[in-house]
Amino acid sequence: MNDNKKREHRRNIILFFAILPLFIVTVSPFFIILKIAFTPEGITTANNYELILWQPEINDPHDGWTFEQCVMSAKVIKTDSDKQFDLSLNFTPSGGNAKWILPLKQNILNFDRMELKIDSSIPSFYLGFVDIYGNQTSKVITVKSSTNKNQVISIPLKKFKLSNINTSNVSNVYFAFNSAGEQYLKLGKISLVYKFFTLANFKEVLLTASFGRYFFNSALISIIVTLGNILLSTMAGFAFSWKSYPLRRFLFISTLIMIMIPMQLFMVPLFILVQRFGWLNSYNALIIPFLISPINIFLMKQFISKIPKDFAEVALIDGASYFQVFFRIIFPMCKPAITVVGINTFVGTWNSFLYPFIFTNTVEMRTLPVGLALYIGLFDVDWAHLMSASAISALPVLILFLCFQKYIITGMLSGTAYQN
Amino acid sequence: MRIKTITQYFLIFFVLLFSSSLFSKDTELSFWQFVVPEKEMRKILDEFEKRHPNIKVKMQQLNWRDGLDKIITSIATGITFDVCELGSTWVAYFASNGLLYGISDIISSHKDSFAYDALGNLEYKGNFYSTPWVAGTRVLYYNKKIFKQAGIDPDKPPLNWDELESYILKIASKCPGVYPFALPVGENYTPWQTFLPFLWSAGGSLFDPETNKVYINSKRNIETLRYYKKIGNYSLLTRQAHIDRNFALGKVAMIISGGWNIGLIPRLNPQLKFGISKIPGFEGNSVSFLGGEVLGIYQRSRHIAESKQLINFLISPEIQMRITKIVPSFIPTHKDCLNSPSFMSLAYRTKFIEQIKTSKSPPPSPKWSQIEEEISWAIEDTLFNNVKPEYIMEKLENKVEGIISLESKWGGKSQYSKFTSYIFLISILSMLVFLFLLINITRKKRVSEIPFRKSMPMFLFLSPWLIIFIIFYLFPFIYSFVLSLTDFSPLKGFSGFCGFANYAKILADPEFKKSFMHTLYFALGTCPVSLILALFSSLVIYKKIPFYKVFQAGIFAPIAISVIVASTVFSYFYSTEGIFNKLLALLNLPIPFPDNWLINPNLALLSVMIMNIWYSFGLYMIILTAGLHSIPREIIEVSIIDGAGSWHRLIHIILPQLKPFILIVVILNTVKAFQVFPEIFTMTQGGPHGATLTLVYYLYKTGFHEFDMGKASAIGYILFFIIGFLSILEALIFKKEEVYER
Repeated sequence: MNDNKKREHRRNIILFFAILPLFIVTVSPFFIILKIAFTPEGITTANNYELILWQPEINDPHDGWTFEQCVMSAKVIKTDSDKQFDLSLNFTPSGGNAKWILPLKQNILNFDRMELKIDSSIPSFYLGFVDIYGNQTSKVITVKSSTNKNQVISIPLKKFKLSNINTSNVSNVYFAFNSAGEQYLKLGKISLVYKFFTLANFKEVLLTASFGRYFFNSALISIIVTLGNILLSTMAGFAFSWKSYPLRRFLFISTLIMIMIPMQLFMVPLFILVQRFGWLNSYNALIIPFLISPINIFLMKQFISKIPKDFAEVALIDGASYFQVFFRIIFPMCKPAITVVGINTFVGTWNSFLYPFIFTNTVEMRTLPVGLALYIGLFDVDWAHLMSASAISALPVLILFLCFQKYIITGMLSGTAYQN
Repeated sequence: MRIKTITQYFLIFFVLLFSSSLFSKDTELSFWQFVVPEKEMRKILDEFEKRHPNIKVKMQQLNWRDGLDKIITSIATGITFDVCELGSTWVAYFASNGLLYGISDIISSHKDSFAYDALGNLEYKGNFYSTPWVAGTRVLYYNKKIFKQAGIDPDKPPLNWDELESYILKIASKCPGVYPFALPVGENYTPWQTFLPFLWSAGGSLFDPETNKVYINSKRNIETLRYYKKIGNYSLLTRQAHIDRNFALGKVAMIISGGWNIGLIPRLNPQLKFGISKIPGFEGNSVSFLGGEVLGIYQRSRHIAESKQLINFLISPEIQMRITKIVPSFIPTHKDCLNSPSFMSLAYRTKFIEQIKTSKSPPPSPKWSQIEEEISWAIEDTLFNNVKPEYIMEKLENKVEGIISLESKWGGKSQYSKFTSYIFLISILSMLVFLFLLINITRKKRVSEIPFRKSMPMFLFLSPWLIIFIIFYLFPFIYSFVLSLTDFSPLKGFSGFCGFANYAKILADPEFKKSFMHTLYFALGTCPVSLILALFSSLVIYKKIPFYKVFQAGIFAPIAISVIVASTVFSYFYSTEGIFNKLLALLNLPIPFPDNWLINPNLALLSVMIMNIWYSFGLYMIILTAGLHSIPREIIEVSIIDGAGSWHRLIHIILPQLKPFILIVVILNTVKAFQVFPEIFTMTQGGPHGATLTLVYYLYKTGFHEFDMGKASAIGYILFFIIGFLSILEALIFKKEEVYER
């Protein structure tokens, strides 16, 4: 006996390693989706996780400056590591200011901090962000002049009051220097460092009001259709698998026929029907035609016909009606098949695209897949938001499955229960 | 006294109610568009409503990808718009089917305010059915840093074909890591949008819309195609979106693209120094593509006057400026906008406006959607295969001539109407005979059969299904069949029965044969693999190996994602910088050319199959697991006691018990494989050169691109027969052995 157990154990380990690669291959796209969903937009194209805003090698030091009571002159210095611009700002003795505006068309929430190489005789300056509607937020940054020529100042973006501005529509970043007399300013590379992972994508997706509505619509429709299918197709499966009676075969075959028909064939006739009933752009159109699906009937019929019917026959002879037999005896016995039907229907309805797309016109009635499709533009895909929206919309199905996984696996409710 | 006052009050109340409903007769307009995001458009429409207090505008937001389909389907079933945005290349189709209201009066009242050639090709048979709204064009983007590296003056972009060619050669030799140029392929619209500017600038043309004479196979056009192929040899060949992205990342030196890059490039790579110039033309004659968005009124709209007011509002310079501020890749069509200094100061605006002045639209044709597909195919054929340009142009001319000449056969009653009523009757009769035979042959009179009356409860159980079946399944089924016997087009309505001509046409169509073969390959490729994987995983998990719950959840997980999202994600994997290529590189295997698997005619179908297997085998695993759990434990235990080895147990006991479930899986799998559509629609749209054309996609194309619903229904029926035949075959194979169990 021990030998057998050992052999079985060893065999299980082998099987474990056999299925592991399959599992990894199947699950890896998910990790990629999650990775993209949590990654700040644009990080894939960046080097060293930073977005370089300005570099002395490439940019002209005079671009973007406005002066008041000040004059600037610039020259290029080559330091040990790279180029640097040496600017001298000549403010009037009574004081003046110099403002430098750099265009910045990014979503600030994607970044952790700003790093800039700066050395100046001016002790502090204003660093601010402006969005496309004109709102700004700023902070005072102190520059400690040090002998270290390669001084890099790191400014965490958390310290800014980002709630003042529309973070996804930033248009500029500015540096404002107020001082008097002659001052110098040495500028090196200015860059924004990406966060390693961010919740910005999820935030943006969830905050769009339409997403919540899509989610609610999808949930409502899926739940109702699933419950309807579980009940009604079990009833129909029961009717088909029980006794033989006139027309049973004919109806069953016609049910089978309906499984095989491609959806596109029915698109126009169904649309006409729905329109005639006045159900266009309403829940009715999305629920009622789908309350029973021929595939589910087929599955239930197959399952029920495999159940030994002794109990039920006895009950019938004892005088119970068909209804009682069905609800009290057969229905509880079908749990494994019902689980399959339930999951199948729920997932199918949750992810169905074609019919919700045709039948709905407005945001109030759309479902999740239709909303997701709108992230896929004609010329470019909004990857970050698409991935985070898909991750959110896949969640309910996964949770549901995890809950019902018990029922499938433990076999507690499997057909063996009825064997005394 | 009291009653009197009450009745008085009632009367007043009713009079007020009645009269208020008379006075507040708000007209409600239905407006469909897709160029402006929903929120912003709503603000603009609210302002219109403010200025016109008794007009309300209900807006339906469409999507670039599916907008045309939605419009067609809706019109086909009676849901219509009052005002709708259309692409300028669609107007001829809609107009030729009498769907648009003639608005030459709006055009003539604004005649002098349209800038450049905005009216270009909007005239159809002497009348105007749409007004220009906003437009886009294509320009040349070039990377100044690469220019410097190759020794080219970054402020001197190429102005003609010779310069373009020499620049390309210089860059190819001096900058080996970048592509000198890029040409779009793999879609239906971008290849011709980039090629036609070259064709036009050399003085070539496609066809004359008035006389239907085709000028494709001309010496000039052949030389243009030869030149295109020459620069194609140094180009990145992929979809427009990837081209734009690669240019922004500095991997391509020059591209031809549209205004959307102005916003895209600073976002992706703020350091990129790029310039914009006019597309280099043949001997300096620069011509570009004009992509116009236009507004049209539905022919049978009940509020023509108000619709015209809405159109006048939307095309006013103030609104055009506002729209092009929200969507900067578009340019207004109103002269006043182009003269306003604040407007012109927007980055690169002047360059675009310069280019749009020499931009053209393709000649208007109701069959443009078919023609554009043929042109795109011909271009892809040139770029990927070593076929001579002369041969390609000749083939293209024949194809386009074929498409255009069909046009003249439209309208008027179909020739077949005489005989069709007989054929119709015969087919109905034969259907009834078939059904009768079906019932009688398959029905075996059994002793235990319950007489009709006693079986009433059974019918009660069946009643919900019967109701839904009759309304939502049987009626569409019969309706589609009737439809397949006609040459109904959604925009023209019925023009007569044509009997089984549709079926004959389809069976003789080489495209049908191609799509059938592809679908067959698809099914043969995915079904066995899916089944084996599902069987393997369900059996292993049934053994309760360590972590089996995790495995089960993981394998089921792909189904949780919508097919559209899964397809989009996979199309990312199959792209040039995607995982599959990286894997090949890791294993030191050669990377295919073209390296985007979905554009490679040899790999495209395989790619879709892989994605389909990944996506679907989890479901089958679940079904088989449920089946495994329904096997009575005793049978297995008895066999262990009897000393059966596990392998023997597997083959002789478990598998036979699992037969009904395997049958379900096989049938489901076949049915789904033959009906594969969303993946193809999202990933390849019928594939590079029709390499992923499957039956359902063929149906969709016939119905929604060629707008031939009768033929499309016929295809659906043929598909249904094929699936039915296969399913019955499979069921018979399995049922043969079930006879014992009965």
